[in-house]
Amino acid sequence: MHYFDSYPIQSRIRKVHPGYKLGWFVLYTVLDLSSHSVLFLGIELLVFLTITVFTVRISLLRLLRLMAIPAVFVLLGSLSVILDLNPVHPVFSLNAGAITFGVSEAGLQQGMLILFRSFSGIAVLYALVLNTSISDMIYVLRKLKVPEVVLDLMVLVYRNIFILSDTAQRIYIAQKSRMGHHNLKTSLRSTAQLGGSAFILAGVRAEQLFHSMESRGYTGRIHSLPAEWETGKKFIVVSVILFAALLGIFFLIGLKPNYI
Amino acid sequence: MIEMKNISYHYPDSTAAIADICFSVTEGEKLVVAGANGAGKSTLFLLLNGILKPRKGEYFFDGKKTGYSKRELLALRQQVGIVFQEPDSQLFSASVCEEVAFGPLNMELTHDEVRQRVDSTLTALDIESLTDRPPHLLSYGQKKRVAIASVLAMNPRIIIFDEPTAGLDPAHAAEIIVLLEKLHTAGKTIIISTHDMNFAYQWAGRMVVLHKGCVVGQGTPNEVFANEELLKQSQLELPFILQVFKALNTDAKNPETMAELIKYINMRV
Repeated sequence: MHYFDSYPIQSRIRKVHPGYKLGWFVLYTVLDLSSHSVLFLGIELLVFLTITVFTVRISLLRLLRLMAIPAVFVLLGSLSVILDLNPVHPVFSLNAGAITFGVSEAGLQQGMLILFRSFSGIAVLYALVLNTSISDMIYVLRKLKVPEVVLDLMVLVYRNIFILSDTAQRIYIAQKSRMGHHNLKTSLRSTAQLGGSAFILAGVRAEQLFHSMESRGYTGRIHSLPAEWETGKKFIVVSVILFAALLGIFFLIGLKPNYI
Repeated sequence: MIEMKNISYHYPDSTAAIADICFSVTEGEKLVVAGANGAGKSTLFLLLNGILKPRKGEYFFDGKKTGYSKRELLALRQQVGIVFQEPDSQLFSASVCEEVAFGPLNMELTHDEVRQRVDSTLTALDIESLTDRPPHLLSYGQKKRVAIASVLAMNPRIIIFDEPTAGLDPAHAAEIIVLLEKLHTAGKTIIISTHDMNFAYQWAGRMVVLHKGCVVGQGTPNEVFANEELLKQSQLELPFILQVFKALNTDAKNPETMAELIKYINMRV
């Protein structure tokens, strides 16, 4: 099974201080949100796909497949903006009795903008997520004074998501091997049981986990080691040049509304 | 170094899990706790580590009666470490390094010292290449090693292993056994629960047999396995070596290892 967080381990910029990564993420997201140019957003999208492919050593196909997860939501969202009831200046329309279904020019432009803005935003987010491990992320959040309770919960939730999904998968296989999912009726019943048992089993695991933490001297706080980073000069130089270039393009074309 | 006197414990919902047992461990011992499922082994281990508080009886560590205040418990847990059977319910961190650092950090060591302990423990267990990896991307054998490392890094004097070889393939199980041997030579006191009587017979210095929460027998492996009634009552099976040796029908001294058994057979033919 290939999980999301197997990628940060193989990242070329694994040792870079996560503060830099988060900082760049914020800056590029601001650019992304303030641009009204589909062309600029398209450039940003391509640049970040390239960056991610290079830094994470992932194939483009695999990256696109990972991006397909949020793509469903983005496409549905944009579609609802593009499609209009009784459009004013329809580019394309369909009559269904009293109602006219169609695509107006304004709607199309708005929809395309949302589509491109979302995808380049996702590309920027993925560049961050695939290059930064969860423990690095938590380290930065701790520096940003996020409350300890929240961070401890993050660690435990993160770990237990995998345990829960693992448990659910095992139960599913156990059910399937006994014809638990061979038609809709049995499938519904099995799924209900799966939900219940997965949580009960997770509860049992949680208790065992608590014992094991207690046996190692847990008293209510998870301490952590200050990490050691090696932020190379090369990273700083390249990232500053890249940002300057994109900022230039942004001021050149990014502010003017531009649609395909 | 450990002395339990008339300890009893029962879970809130059921009958006694541990009933009035006396149990002792001496420094540098290789102790196997044997017994069928549900005999009370795991409960006994949780009592040893102070996670469960006995309902009755007294627990002495190094001749001193242990109390159950926060400070006393921390001190006890630094001395007695448990490696649980299921590594998935022991590992909670987002990376191996943090997992191993968890215990030492709770001991309030300096960061440099913690880092040094993490590095040396990972190197000793041959898993330094896994440092940054999240636990769910490890194989079962690797998880088991990380679980052991997370306890070793606290440098306890007694280490309890709950079924250390369960679920491992023979090669990995053999590696764990080599590791146990290393720890013992390094001066650790080791307590193990296992269902593998072949292993128990060859490894243990002393065995304690539990049945329904009571200590029903103890002694050297040879003493325990000579007591047929005890084996029957506590549902333990005779080690392979002894089964073969018994079939040979001789009065000679029991062989302690497979090699000795083979040597004996060769001598006879």
